[in-house]
Formats: sequence, structure tokens, C-alpha cells
Amino acid sequence: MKKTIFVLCMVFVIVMSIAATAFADAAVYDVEKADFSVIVKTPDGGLNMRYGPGTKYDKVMSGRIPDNVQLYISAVSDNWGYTSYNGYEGWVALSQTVRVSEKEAKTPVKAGYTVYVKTPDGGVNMRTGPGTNNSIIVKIADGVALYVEETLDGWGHINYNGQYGWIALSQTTTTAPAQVETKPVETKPVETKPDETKPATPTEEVNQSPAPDTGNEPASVTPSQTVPMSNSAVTAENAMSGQFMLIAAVVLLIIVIAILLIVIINMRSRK
Amino acid sequence: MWILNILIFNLCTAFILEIPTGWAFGANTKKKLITLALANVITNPAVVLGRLSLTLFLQEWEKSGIILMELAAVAVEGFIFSKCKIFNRKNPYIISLAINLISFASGEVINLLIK
Repeated sequence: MKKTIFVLCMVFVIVMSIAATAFADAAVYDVEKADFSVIVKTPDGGLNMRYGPGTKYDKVMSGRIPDNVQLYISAVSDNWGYTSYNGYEGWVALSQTVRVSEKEAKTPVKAGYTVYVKTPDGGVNMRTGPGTNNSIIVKIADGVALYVEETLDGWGHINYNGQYGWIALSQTTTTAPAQVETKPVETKPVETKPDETKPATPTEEVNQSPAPDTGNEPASVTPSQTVPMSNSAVTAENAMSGQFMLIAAVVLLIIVIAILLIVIINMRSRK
Repeated sequence: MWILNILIFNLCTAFILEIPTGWAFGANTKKKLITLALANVITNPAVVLGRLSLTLFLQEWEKSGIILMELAAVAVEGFIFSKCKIFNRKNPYIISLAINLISFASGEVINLLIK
């Protein structure tokens, strides 16, 4: 019996350590899933994106999201919304935005810029509609320049080889590759890189740094405007997982305490 | 956090349903009822958390997972009942199964009423 109690106490100590780690690592803010779009409206012309839902968190990107950009909010926490913009993922203050109606959010937004296909597996699928549930028309190889006429929920409406279709803008870049198949385009460089798998950020055309209208040539983009991946951004799902881990650790702790109590009660009753 | 609210609500519901049922089956002393309550504390939050995890992250395993977890809870509670001699001269595992079935069925009825 003493040995059993000793083992249980050791388990208790181990669980306390795990719980302490979980407390340290887990996200400590409540996150709820969301599914709506907003338009950026700030008094000073731009909205910061941060790693967490609060001004105490660092900014994800050096620039700000300009006014009138439409963002898709996939999670909310305490009047902050989780979104992605130009390949960055993070939190924005919803007080600096205006929520759009579902009808407006589903309306394609006129674009008018060129993107270049850039994927990890050699090509992007052009589909009949804006979403992976739509059937594939053709696969477009990497490096192909495409003129985006309008965007919707992170998808771009294009014409390729005489056929109209939609591609995931997350699989494209506004930076011209070294060898590019050029097409006649009218363009101003705009960065968009939302995910194909989750509808992230529908975007308005944005001029972060004005570029000349180059007619038939793909416009050049400064290296700082290319879209890096934001690996360290806290995702909504990671936050949920963090909460679960935290609560699982607490439940484990409570279970161990209950076992100890049962053993103690029954030891006393046997005496 | 909403998860904590769900856990607390489910635990309270389990107490309300299972302790009187255990008393009806023969857990008629204070210590036995406390042990019964502690057995619920051991199994109920774990099962509820497991069900939430399945619902949120592993929908395809939800139904079979729930059944497995409930059976595990029955086994754990039955083990505690047998070691602590809660129900004299009766099979503790069958009693655990009965108590959990009553609790599970009541929970489903409550869910239907809420909906």
C-alpha cells in the first residue's frame, strides 16, 4: 500500500510538471471559430497584423494592411480576428474594420493584375469555380503569367488558353520568375497569397508601393514585396489545440487527485 | 473557457444522475457515496474531453470512439467499485454498466430536450 501511494505521488508530481508546461505553452486567450469578411477602415490608413489578439503582441509584418482591403476572418478572440493577407497570417483589431454582409462577401471583387504560377508540385489547378469542390479544367504549369480579372475569397478569375476558370491565389506570386512565359497583360503589381485549402483573404487591389504601368511586360516587384511564409504565426487551430492540451493536463491532474483521495479514504475505512 | 463550462456541467449532471442510482444499488454509506463521486470525477471529464476532441478533430472516429470511451469508463468505475467494495455481494462491473447506461441515456434525453 505504501508503495502504491509512493507511485501515485510520483505520478502526481509528473502530472504537475506537465500541467505547468501546458500552462506555459498553451494560448491563454479564448478563440472561437468564425466565418465572415470585413473591410479595413482605419483613421490612419492602415491596420497592423499581430501574432496574437492584442496590442501586446508583436507585428507580423512591417507594413500595414491598407484601408478598403477585404479580409476573411476565420477565428475571433476578444474583438480581434484571425486572418491572412499577402501570405502573412495573424490577428487584426476588428474595431478597425467594418463587417461586410454575406452577400457582399460572396461578390467577386475586380482585380486587374498579373500573377505567376508558383507551386511546390509544379502546377496549379484551374477550376470551374472558386473552391476546391469545383471540378478541375486544366493544370497550369509553374511560371505561367496569368491576368487576374477578379477575385473572390482568395481565388482569382483568369483566362488561360481561351478558357475561363479560377485558381487559388495562394499558389501564385506577383514576382516574375527568372524564365517566364509572358502573356499580354495590363497590370499593377499586387500581392495576394491566401491558402487554397482554407478560404483566407480575399483582397482588393493594393498598392503598397506604386509601380509603373508597364503595358505588355510583367511588372516588377521589389524583393520586399514578395510573399514569405509566416511560419511562426499562431493559427486558430493551434490555439484551440493549446487550450485542449491545457485542459487535458488539468483533467489529468484532477484524476490523479481523485485516485489519491479514493486510496486515502479506503485506507482509513480498513483501519 | 467554454470547454471548462461543458466539463463542469457534465460532471454535475453525472453526480445528479449516478450518485442516487448508486445509492439505490446499495452504496448506502457516506464513504461509499464519496468514493462513487470520486470515481465519476476520474471518468467523466476524461470521457467528455475525449468526445469533444473527437467531435472537433476526428469526426470520422466519433461514434466508435465514444463507445470505446464509455466502455473504458465502465471498466474503470467497475474496478474502483470492486476494490473499494462499494456494492457488497453484487457484481461491480454490471452495476457500473447499469449506472453508466442510465446516465448516458439521461444525458441523451437532456440533449434532445435542449435541442
